[in-house]
Formats: sequence, structure tokens, C-alpha cells
Amino acid sequence: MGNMPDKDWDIEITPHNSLFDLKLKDTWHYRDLLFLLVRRDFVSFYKQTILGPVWFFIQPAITILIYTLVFSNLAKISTDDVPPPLFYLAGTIIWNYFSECLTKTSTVFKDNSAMLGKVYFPRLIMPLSIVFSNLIRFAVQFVLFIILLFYYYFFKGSHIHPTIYIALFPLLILLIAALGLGLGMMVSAVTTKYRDLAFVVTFGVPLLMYTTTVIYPLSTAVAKYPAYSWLIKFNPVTAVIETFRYGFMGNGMFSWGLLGYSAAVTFIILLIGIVVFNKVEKTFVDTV
Amino acid sequence: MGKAIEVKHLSKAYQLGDFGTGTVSRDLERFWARLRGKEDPFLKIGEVNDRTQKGGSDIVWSLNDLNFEIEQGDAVGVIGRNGAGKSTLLKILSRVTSPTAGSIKIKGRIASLLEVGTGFHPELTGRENVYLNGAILGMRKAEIKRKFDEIIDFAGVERYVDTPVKRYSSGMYVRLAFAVAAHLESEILIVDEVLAVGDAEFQKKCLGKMGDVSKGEGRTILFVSHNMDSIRTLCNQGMVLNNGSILFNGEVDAAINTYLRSSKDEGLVTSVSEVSLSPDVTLESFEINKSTLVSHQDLEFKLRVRSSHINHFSAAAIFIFDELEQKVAFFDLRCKELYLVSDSNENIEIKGSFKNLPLLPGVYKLGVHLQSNLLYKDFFDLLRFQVLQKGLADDNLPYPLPVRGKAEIDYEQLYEGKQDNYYFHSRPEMLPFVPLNIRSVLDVGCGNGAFGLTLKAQRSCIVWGIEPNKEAAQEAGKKLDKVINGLFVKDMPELGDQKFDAVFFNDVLEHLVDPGEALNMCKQLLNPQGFIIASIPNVRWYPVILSLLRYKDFKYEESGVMDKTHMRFFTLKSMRRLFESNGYRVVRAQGINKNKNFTIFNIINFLLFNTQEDMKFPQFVIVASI
Repeated sequence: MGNMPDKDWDIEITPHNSLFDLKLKDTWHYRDLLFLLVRRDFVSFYKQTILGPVWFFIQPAITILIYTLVFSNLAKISTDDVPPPLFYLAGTIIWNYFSECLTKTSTVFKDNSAMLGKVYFPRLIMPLSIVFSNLIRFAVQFVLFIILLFYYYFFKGSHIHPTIYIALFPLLILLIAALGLGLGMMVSAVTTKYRDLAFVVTFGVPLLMYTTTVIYPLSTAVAKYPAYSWLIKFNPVTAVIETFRYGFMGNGMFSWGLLGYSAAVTFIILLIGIVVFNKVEKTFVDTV
Repeated sequence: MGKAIEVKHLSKAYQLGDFGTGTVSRDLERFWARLRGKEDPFLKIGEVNDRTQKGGSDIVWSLNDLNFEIEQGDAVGVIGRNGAGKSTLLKILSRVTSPTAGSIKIKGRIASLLEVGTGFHPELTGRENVYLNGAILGMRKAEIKRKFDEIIDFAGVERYVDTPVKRYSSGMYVRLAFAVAAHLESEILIVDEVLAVGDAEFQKKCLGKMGDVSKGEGRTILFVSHNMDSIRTLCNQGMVLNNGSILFNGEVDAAINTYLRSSKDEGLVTSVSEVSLSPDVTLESFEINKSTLVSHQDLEFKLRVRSSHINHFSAAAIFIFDELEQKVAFFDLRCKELYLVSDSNENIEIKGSFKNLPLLPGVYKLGVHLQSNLLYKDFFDLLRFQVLQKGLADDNLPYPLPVRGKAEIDYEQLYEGKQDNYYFHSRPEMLPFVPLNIRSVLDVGCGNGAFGLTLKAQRSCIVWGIEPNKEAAQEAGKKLDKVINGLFVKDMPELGDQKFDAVFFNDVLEHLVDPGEALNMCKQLLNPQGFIIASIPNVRWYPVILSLLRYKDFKYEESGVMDKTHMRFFTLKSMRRLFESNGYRVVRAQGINKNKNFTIFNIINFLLFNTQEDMKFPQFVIVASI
């Protein structure tokens, strides 16, 4: 018995794992848990509320109302011929999805330490459940967007014409989710030990919105600040929002180059995110 | 059978103190050292994990170079004091955290139960939580579905399956949570001290279920508990951890003994401070006012808890455990003040005292249970104190401890009730009259030997007896050194020439036709310094006189002063005369078994200037020497 070959052991626990052991197979085994966690988040969100899932609508509705009043009517920022509510809603739902994924993932260890400290399951499940929970929210808000789009298209005869790039929609969702997830995991890895970065995220993410084209079109930014517009272009979220608007409303700037850049950055961030996350998850219980 | 778990050179280090600005520079230093392929400058392997002593560095070794193997199908109890490394070991085995060094190899699926109800969401129903909790523990949905009815049945919550668990009682909550875990299909089950909650019946059911898991299905169990009894019932192997190392690993009884021996050496602890209970809650101090007390004394305690933020406490309790880690007592500290104070304060102080602690001599440990928004846990073995034997009212020597159990209940002594069994009396009220230095005793009319046995236990002397009733004499023969079945004066020759330090006549002389003859004959039996100790009913006992005067009646009864088998009746005066006229000197004559209640007689006696004191006593004890 003494020299049992190593392959007979099912699990081996050692201090360090290979850097690129992403435990994806293990994660796949726990896919039911992922589903149940998403369900839990969704159900517990509206239990004991009067309006229930309607809250998913109210938040973006009020946001675009304010944006329309402040940025369009008061500050007179152009929306490139697109009705301002539609323009803002397109940017807002994508940005919201990104920022929710990022902020929630960045505190995932802290928020779930009670559970993670007592049971083993592939830790990646936790941030993934955040991404999927928010995807449901995004879907609800997207329905709102489609309703508004039809309203303006058929009843108002607005200057909107969907293009073939609408087919890129699933890829856009994938990109924005992966970006939020990747960045969030990178932050979470650091915040288990040093909480400072969590504060940066709290006030930084809302500010970051102004570095992408949520409340203004890229064309205006390029025209007004030609020297600094690269800052906005290099924000990987910009390409996603612009492509989204171009696909659904035929407005905005679309370029394969910019989208390709965004996809590449997202992939790298996601990879780094998973690697550091897997490294930290092994011992975060001791430090969080 | 093969090996289920193989652990080699397992170590785990923790960093003490806060993670502040200092840690960044140190982390960078460590990172730099690792880059250059050097040893981590802050991890010095080999330092002992002893939390009570301040080590050289901020790193403490919770586990230190553990090596062991566990065979498939073994149930291993992991024993050790708080901080010995038990929980860390289980955490590493269940992959919640990683080791600092070493490796573990595991064969089969692991299910670990470090806490019941992990991931339970109060808003979700019982059904939804079963699925969620099952999935967290690693079950597939189909698997849970298949076992769902069985789980609900085990927990006994059929009626509430579709009720949100926040409406469950805490017992139902725990039962449901454990039921899920108990139905996991896994080759290895790891269970931390999770059964401290829940009612006793369910605890038994859980232990039974876990026992099934180990013995019936050939699974391997690792079980941490402070309760040596559950360890003994459940486990066949034991591992004792001490300061992060293995003190003993082997057969379970030997392991428990090793542990008990090692913990006995440690001293008494009357205060602890700054014990971190959770990241948010600290036990600022827990004190008792003395390390040693005598049974039935009071013990004052003071408990201070500090939280990082306001934190509603819904329960607090103090446990007493004995040396075998058996829970002896529980003090519920819930009260309105606790709720109110904790709702507006980060700091809570509970002061109080255990009144009249009825514990028998031994060393006891105090633990605390706290329950709040941030915490739900038991903390064992925080303080230790010692209880000493209380001095007894009469000269009775105490029985040995195993005979007496754990607690001594206060009671009223009631010996005046109807004496329904003639031959069965241990007569403890006689003991104060028994000299301390006697070596041999004759008990005339020894009944079934109950009194003689008391004498043997209290004075460690030889006791002989004479008893006319055959069955009683046989019974007494099993207890006493020699018993003769016969009448006192007639069968006296059977005693031979044995001499006694004391001859007892417990309610005997009044049954004899000629008590004077008996006393005379007794002189041959007594050593020169010997005594006769006799208890004799008093015919002037006031109920008898009352009956005589008021009801004009002299009625015999089954037992007592007016026993129908009595040949003669005595007053204190006639008792003295009986002894003195037969050549004895009365050393002591004292009434016993008086009625302590206040009656009309007390008034009469008072009006007669207490001249009728002798009427208070149903019996007198006469101690006489030659």
C-alpha cells in the first residue's frame, strides 16, 4: 500500500498550484450551484418588496429622465440626432451592467466570507453568479430599451435605422461581462488583504463613466477634444457602447479595429483576473 | 483496505495582528525573496504554536509538520484544546484554505460540514434552501431531487417545506441544515463541532446517522468534538493535537486518555481577555472571582464583549463542562437588557453570580455561547476552576466521587415519615453518636444491615450483627462481616469471645422482655473502653401524650413509638434508670428526630417554662459505658 501510484489519488492538496490551472472542469461540475445562486439573488432581491421586479425598470427610467433633463436639455450635449432618452438608455444599460459586475465582483470575498470560509466549491462560481444575476437585470432593462426603440421608430418616426451589426450583440454582452468580471476579480484579489482599493472602486467607477460615451457621442468628443479623444477610445467599454448604438440605431462610430482592440484587452484582463483570483482564493480565508 | 487520506509534512502559518501599512513593505520583501529563489524571511519553520506566549515574530504556526494516514472506513476523532489546530486541519482538508507547506492526498469525494446551513438564505423556502445548500456541498440537482423526500423526512419539517426559513425555529433550521449534509454521497465526511446546537434527541439522531455513514457504508469520517462521549461512541481512532502537532494518534480510548492527562496538567484560569471570536466580535474579558470554591458556594462572573459595530445579540449563555468535556450545566443569559444594550452599544458587559453552585469536587471548565447578527457559536474551555468538598453537617465521610455523580442537590431531610420497612434503615441520625476511633461493632437487631454498612463506610470498622428475621439476616450477611440469625440473649454464645468497641441497640431494647438482662450480658461483649449506644422510643413524645390526654386513647400502631411489637415503654428518666441500675454510666442522653415544625406543643412547653423539653423527641439515644 505504501507506494500507491499518484494517479490513484483523487485530490491532492498542496500549497501552490500551477498558475494556469483554472479549474474550469471543476467549475463546470458545479453549474447547478451557479444556477441556484443566480436564482437566490433574483428571488431575494424582490421578496418583501411591493413592486418586485418592477424595480429593475424604475432605476434606469429615472436615470435617463435625469440625464435627458440635465445633459440634453440643460447642458445641450448633442446626441447625434438620436432621441436623447434612447441614446442615454443604450449607454446606461451597458455601463450599468459593466459597473455592477465590476463592483460586486471586487467585494466578492468580503461579501461571502461566511460561506466561503466554511465550504469548498470552485470559487469562480461566486463571481460568475454575479455576472449571471446581473445579466437577468440587464435583460429586463434591455426589454425596456427595445420598447422605447419601437416607440420612437414607429410612432415618432425618429431618425433610427438598425444595421447588420446588430448581429454582434451577443459578442458585445460577452465582452462587457468578461471585462467587468476580469477587472472585478483583479480588484478582489487585492482587497482581501488591503481594503484601500475597494474605496477607490466605490467612488472611481461612477467617475469612470465620464471617460466613455454614455452621455455624449464619440463624434462630439473627437470634435471638441481631438488631442484627448484617444483616452476615450482606449477605454475598452467605448467600443462596446458605440457598436451597440451603431447596430441598433445606426448612430455612432463603429470600427473593427476599435472593437478588436477592446476584445483583446478584455481577453487579457479576464485571463489575468482568473489567474490572480485562483491564487488568492486558496488562502483568502486567513486574511479577509 | 486502502488509505483514504495521506498527509505529509503539513504546516500552516498564520499572520498575527492587523494588516496595515507595515504589511505592504513586508509583502514586497517576501515577494522579492521568492523571486530570487530564497527562503521566505518571515516564515521560520519550527516555531511552536503557543498562543499564550509571545513568539519572536508575528507569524504563528497553527499546524506544524503533521504526518499521518487514515485508512478507508476509519472514524477518526480529532481532539485537542482550543487553538490546538483542529479546525485549521479540517479547513485545509476541506480545501477552504491552503496549507503553507506539505501535501495532502485524498482518495474519493470529500464532504465537509464545518458549519450547518452554510449559504441558507432566510428569504428562501425550506425547499429552495435544500437545493441551494445541497449544491453548495457539491450535489447535483438530480441527486438532491432524488433524496429530497428523505431529507425532509429526516429533518421532520414536512409541513414547512414551502415556508421561508426565516420563520423556522432555530431547531428546525439546524435539523434541516444537517439533514442535507447527512445525505451527501461521499467517501469521506469531515464534521466539525456542529452538533452543539440542536436538541438532544436530534443530536443522537445525527450521531446515529453519522455512525451509519462510517460503519455501515465503509466511509471515512473525521470528527472534531469537545464531547469525549460522542467521540468514543462514534470513532474507532483518535488523534490528539496539541499546539499544532500530533500528540497521539491511534486507538480512540488511548487517545482520549492522553488528552485528558495532558489537559489535567494545566492550571486553573480565572480570566481571559481579548479572545477574538469572529472578525467583528472580541471577547474583551471573561472572569470569575475565584479559582477554587467549595460546593454550594456562589461564583461571580463578568463577561465583556466588544463588537466592531452595533450588533444585536439574541442570545448569550455560559456552559460548565467537566474534565471529560461533558456538559454539566448551562446558564441562560438572555434577558431584555441584553437585547436593549446590544441594540445601542458596541460593548456589552454581563455580570452576575452562579448561586449555590451544587457541583461536586473536581475541575470544571467554562465556555460561552454567543448569538448575534455577526456570530453564532460556542466557545469551549475558556476558564477553569476547581470545586472542593464542602464540610458535612454531621461527621459523615463523603462517598467516593464516581458514586455521587456531578451535582449535589439541596434537600430537606425527612426521616420522620412512616417507616414502612422495618428492616431497612441506614439511620444516619445515629452517626453523630458513633465515636471516631472504633474498630469493632456489634449491631443488635441489625435488620438488613443498612446501618452496619453505613458504619463500615464511615468508620471503616468490623461490623457484626444479630437479627431474628431470617431474610433480613441473610441480606445483612452480604453486607456485614458476620451476621447471626437469632435472638440476642439466647444466641449470644454464637458470638464466641469476640469483644467489641461498641454495641448498638437501635430500637431494640424496648422489644425485649427483659432489657436489664440484655444489658447485663452485654458487659461480657464490651472492651473495657467500650460503649453501648442505644436508641429508644420515648413514650412521653407529645403526640402520644396528646392522644392519651385529649382522645383518651392508647392506640398501638404498625411502627413508631406506639409500635405494637414493643414490650416496654420508656421515658428519658426510665431509660437512664435502666442503664444505671444495670451498672452502666450514662455518658450521653440526647433526643433525636424531633419535629422541626411549630406546633401547639411549642406554646404549651413555653408556658410551662420549657420543662417539658423531653416531649419533643420521639426517640432518645443513650450512650453508656461500663
